Formats: sequence, C-alpha cells, structure tokens
Amino acid sequence: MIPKINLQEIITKLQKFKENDDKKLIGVFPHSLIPDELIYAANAIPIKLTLGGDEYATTKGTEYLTQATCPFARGTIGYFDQANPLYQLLDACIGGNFCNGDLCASEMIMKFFNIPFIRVTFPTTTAPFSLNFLKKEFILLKEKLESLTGNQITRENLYTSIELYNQIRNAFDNINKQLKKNNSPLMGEDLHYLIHRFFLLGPDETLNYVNQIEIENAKQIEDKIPVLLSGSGIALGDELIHLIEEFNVRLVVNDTWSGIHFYHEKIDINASKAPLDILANHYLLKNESSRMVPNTRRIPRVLNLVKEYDVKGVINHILKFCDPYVADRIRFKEALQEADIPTLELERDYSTSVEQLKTRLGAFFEMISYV
Amino acid sequence: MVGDLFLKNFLKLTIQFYSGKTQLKIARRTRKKVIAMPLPVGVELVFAAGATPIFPCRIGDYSSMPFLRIARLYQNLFGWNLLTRGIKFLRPFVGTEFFSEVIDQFLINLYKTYEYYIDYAENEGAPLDACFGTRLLLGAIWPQLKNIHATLGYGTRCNWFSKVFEEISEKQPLVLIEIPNVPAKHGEEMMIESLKIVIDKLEKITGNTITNESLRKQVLIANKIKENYLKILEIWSKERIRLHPLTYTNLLSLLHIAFTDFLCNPKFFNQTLQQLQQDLQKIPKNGGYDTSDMPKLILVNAFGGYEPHLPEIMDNLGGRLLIADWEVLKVLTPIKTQGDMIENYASALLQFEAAWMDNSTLVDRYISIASKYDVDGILFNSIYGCKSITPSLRLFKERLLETDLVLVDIGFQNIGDNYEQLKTRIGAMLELIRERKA
Repeated sequence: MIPKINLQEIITKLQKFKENDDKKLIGVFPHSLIPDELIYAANAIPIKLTLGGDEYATTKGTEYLTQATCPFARGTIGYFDQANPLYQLLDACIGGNFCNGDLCASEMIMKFFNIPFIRVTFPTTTAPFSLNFLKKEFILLKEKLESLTGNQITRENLYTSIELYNQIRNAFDNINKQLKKNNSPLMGEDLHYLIHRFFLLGPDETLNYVNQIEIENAKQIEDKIPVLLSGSGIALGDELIHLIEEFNVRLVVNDTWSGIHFYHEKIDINASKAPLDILANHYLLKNESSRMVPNTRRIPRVLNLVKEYDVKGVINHILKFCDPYVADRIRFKEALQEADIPTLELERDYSTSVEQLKTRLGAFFEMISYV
Repeated sequence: MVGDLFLKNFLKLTIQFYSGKTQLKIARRTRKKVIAMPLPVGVELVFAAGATPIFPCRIGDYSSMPFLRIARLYQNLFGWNLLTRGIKFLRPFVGTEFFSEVIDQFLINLYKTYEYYIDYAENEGAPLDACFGTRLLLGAIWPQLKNIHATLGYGTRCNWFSKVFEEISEKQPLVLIEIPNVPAKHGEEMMIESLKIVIDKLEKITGNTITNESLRKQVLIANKIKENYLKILEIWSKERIRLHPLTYTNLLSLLHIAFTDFLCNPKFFNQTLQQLQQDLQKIPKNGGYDTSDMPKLILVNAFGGYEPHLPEIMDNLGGRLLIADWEVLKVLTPIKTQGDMIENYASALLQFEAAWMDNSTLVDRYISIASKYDVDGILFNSIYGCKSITPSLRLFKERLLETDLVLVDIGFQNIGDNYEQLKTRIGAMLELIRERKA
C-alpha cells in the first residue's frame, strides 16, 4: 500500500529544503537516542543514517572498522566512503556511544569524511546521577546546534517541537494498530517504508504524507499469520521484512529502532518542567533499546505486545556483533519460552544468503501456522 | 638464566599469583568478603572496604604444577626468607632448567588454565565471537560464584563490556562503577555521585565503612606500588638489563595481571616489587644482557588477551616485548592523597576513562608510551570480537605515518590459533626494523 522509497525523490526534496528554506540537514545515528526534537527546534532536519543492507558498502566499511563490528555500522561508513548522494547532503552529524559500532563509526566519520560532528555521551545506567548527566549533555547539544544552525532554541519552540513529534508518534501508533486487524490493508513492509520516509524527511513532510493515506478504502489483505520482530533494526535497503511477508505472514510489530521504539511511548509533556529535562527523562528512562544496564524494558514490552497484537510467533533478530542484542539472547529466549511463545532466533549479517533465510523463516512460519 | 636473588622475588610473586584459592580460604577465615576484580580500577576501594579483591582467573586449580608444590612446601616449612637457600638446596634435585621453566613458561602455564575458562564460558552460552577477554571473564567467574560475594563492574565506553557485567549480575551481586566518557564538569559531578553509590554498596556488602582516611591509606600504598611498577617498566627500556629479555617479558606479563588485585596483599606486593626493582637496577659488572641490538615492540593491547607464546616467539626472533597497558590507560598515575578522597578518586577514574575515550586518544597514548620507552614498533593485537579497541588499527596506521614506528597486525581469537603465521609476520617486522637501524 505504501510505495517503496525512491531515494532520488528524497534527495531532491532535501535539496529543496536546504536551498529554499535554508535548513541544515543533520545526520543522526538512528539508534543513538539523540532527541530529534532538539534538532528540529533549531530549524534543522534530523536525517537518520538508516541506509544499510548493501554488502558492498559493508565490505568497504571493513577497511575502517573491523570484520567483527556490526554490519550496519560498517555499512554506514561504507556509504560515506562511497560518497552516497544522500549522505553527501549532510551539513553535520551527531553520534555517540550507544554501542561500540556507533562510537567507532562516529569517530571514523569525524576523522575521514570532513563533516562537522557533534558527540553526545549516553550513560550506561538509569540512576538519578545518569539523568542529571544526560540533561547537561542535552544542554551542550542545544548550544552546539544553535551555533551550527545560527538559530536559537527557545523554550517555546522546543515545546512546539516535542508536541509535533508526539503527534507523529500518535500517527504511527494509530497506523500500527491497524495491523491488528485480520483484514488490514496494511502490511509490516508498508510501515517500514513509512517510518524510513519519516527518518529521512522529518516530521513536517511525514505528517502531510500520513494524513493523505487512505486506509479505510484500501484493499484488504486477509488471513495472514501475525508475527513480531524484535532486536536489531532493519535498515532501509535491507529486504528482511519483504522476505518475511513473502510468506503468509504479516509483521504486525517491528520492535526495533526502525519501528515501534520511536513511537511506543509518547513524551510526557509537563509544562512545569523544563523541556530539556522532559527530553532527558524520556530518552533515558523510556528508551526502548537494549543497551542500558540493566535492560529491564524489552521483555515486558515484547510480552505485552505479543498479547496486544495476538502474535503467533516472535523473531529475535540479531545482526552479527550487535552487542545489546547478542548480550540479551539467552535471557530473551528463556523469557519467551517460559511464556510459551514460539521464537526464532535469527542471527545474520547482510551477506547471509536469501535462500538460507527463506529456509529458516519458512520452517518457523510453518510450525507456527499449526499453533 | 637468573641469579638466585631475583629468583626469590620472582618466585614469591609467582607463588602468590597462583595461590588464589589459598587467599580465598584466608579471606573466609578472616571473614572478609571477596570481590571479583576484572580490572585494577577500583582496587583501592575494595581494600578500603576491608574486602579481598581477586582477579577471578587466579582462583583456578594450579595445584598440579610441580614447581608450585615444591615451592609451597619449602615456603611453608622455612618461610620466604629462607626461600633463597631453598632454591640452592633444590637445584641439584630439580635442575637449572626447572626454575627457568617456572619463570619463562609462566604465561604458557597460565593460559592452559585460561583455555579451561574459555571452554566453560562457551559451554554455558557465552557467544563464541565475543572477545577473548570477556569470554575469559565469564568462564572464570561463573564456576566461582559460591566463592565470590560480588563483582566489581564498569560502565565504560565499551558497551559490550558493560553488558557482560549485566550477565554476571543475573547470578551474583554487581557493584557497577559508571565512569562517564566526558572530562567536563558534569562528568565530574556524575563520577562523584556514581562513586558514592559504589562506596555505599561496598559498605553494605562488607559491613564496613569506607572513610576518607581508610581510602587514603589504601591509595598511599597503591601509589607506591605504581611507582615501583613504573620503575620496572623504565628499567626494561635500558640497553643493558639484568634479566634475560624473555624472563623480563614474562615478569611484565605477571605484573600486568597481578596488578589487578595486588595479589590480595598490597603490603606484600609493594615490598616485593620494591625489592625486585632495586635488584633489577643492580647489574653485576660482567653480568646482565646487552639488548642494544634487539628491536623493541609494544603490545597493543594486552588486557583483552593475547597469544601466550608471543614473548617466546619474540625472543626466538631476537626481539623484546613491552606490556604496558596500565600505564597507557593512566592506571599507574598516582592518585592525590590530600583533601577529599572521593573527589581525588573520582578524578583518577575519569583520567582512566579519558585515556581511551575514543580510539584517536588511545592511539596517541600508545605512541606516547612507545616513545617514552624508545620502542621501535607496534605489535597490534587484533582481538577478534573486539569492536572497541581493535577498530583503532586504521587510526594507528594513519598516525604512524608521522612517526618512525613500524606496525605489524596479528590476529588473535583463541590460544594457539596461528602460531606459524605469527612467527612469519613478527620475523618480517623485526627484519625491517634491523634494516632501518643499520
């Protein structure tokens, strides 16, 4: 229902934003937990560095990082190395220490690709001192964004930005809930393209686009087995969701940074609190990633989503060397086994053969079709 | 190979090193809590809490080593002071090679136990492509859960390392020191708050209070240990040295690990190091080893694990190997002892994290230390599965273009994997260094 993303179209639109609207385009590692709201409030567009899935780019990236770094991080460097036209538009990048891939790739981008870089450090735990620390990191980020864009980030325009992003979260949440219906015209791949469109074009374009989608009148798609995917994100260019839905399956929840992590929890706007405090609170305490120590949110969230969406099977997607999800694998498996939820652990990189993936997915879906 | 005087101090360290199980028994007897220490960072806090820190790999079963049985027997009967006489007494029975074997095979013997830990970890589900260091840590801690009261863990730049501590925390109490990667005011504030929570947890585990004075006392002795350690590193860099180069590298390997927990006894460790470094400086007139023709390499890095035959390979090829990770990471920098010790300790922890805050900084640190010790090249230990430090290889190569240092990149995943390849690559590099010097 939602067309595949035409990158050239995206590039053309972004060029117009730069030229006509004088907006800065700021690249952000997609799982970095950097608040897009702050970037938007500086009248810039946050562009998530979400391209991936390309084996050649990943191989190029290995010349900078190591073979034992996650293929997404390596691919990101590879795209910069290959002067990808989308990434060439960026005026600056923001990255951090979400994981070793993020940290090392950020450093390589800074060093080798001549692009201004802002580093944000994220704490490891959610202790009160971590929250205070993150608030101050966000204050520094705000100052750097103001300096980069020449625009002041006021309390008012930051509140406005947070409200706008909450609108987007609501919109995506409502669309995702459409996938609960057995005869929904939407598939997981539709949502995948929609969210990547948002990652590349920002909130204004996305709200316009989302408001124009006519779901009610679209052709229904019946009798698909609902599955949930959790773990490492699915980059734009990675065909995994397409492969999954080639079977008689609908991906009803994408529990990754490329899916529900952005919109599962709305930001709690409390007008008596400073907006940077609100952001720090949300991004530290409500972040859905598995990088925190301890990681207490993933398993309860997945168990609830399984119930809410009446999911028949879960795919635990682990990109090779993706530390937060490699670390979580046994715990996750045991929790889902205990809850009697059929689970497929799918560890892969971008060179894993399509046939091999299809074989594993096919066997799993066949098994759960009898449940 | 070595004079008896050295042998005494080196043997003391080696026996104490392999006596982890005995040290745990002593801790139990004296009702001290045992805290597993993967790194030396925070060791003063553990001692200040009246607990016994232990590097988990030292708790292994080393009782089958013949020299250890003999040396312990002699030590128990006659004490440390008579150990020298014991060596003279034993030599006709066990032969000269026996003692060289003890010292020069230190690393190889140790790594035989490490192989057991790696297998244990993998059988318990540790990922096969995790770095050697973290597989080792898990494999050493898991079987010892009943002997350890808590593990000291770290929230540092390496997210995988932090997640490994999460794994450990599922089975036993974890005291996590979160060390921010930001040398700014809010980083200092966070560090102090994090440290207060760590102190609070250690106090709850041990039932003892860590006061400003008790921490100062431990830092004072630790500073002396660091001073002696640094002297031993400096002496290594001289052209004429008292110890055989291979023996010296094995000594550095032992110190590198022993420094993690001060062998459970900071006073003993300090005294032995002090005697050792004093003895190392006294080269007899016609004695010692001329190493002026021997290329010197620094290992980058050691703490993630490395091929135990490396010192032997280097020696066979006529080179010398320096292991100086703790100096690179600023763990050997003395901690201030005036004023508020929490602030001073927080500052030291931040310095440690800042030394490797990103790979460019780490590369600069290794090159700075290489220059200090007049090293000819970098032996880059590409640890498979390390996504944190191993990616610095490209940065090293770029940076070394501005220096005279040579670099060889050697892969390491498991012990003994590519011994022949190591010989070839290191041999070629040493040849290149010799040609350049000629």
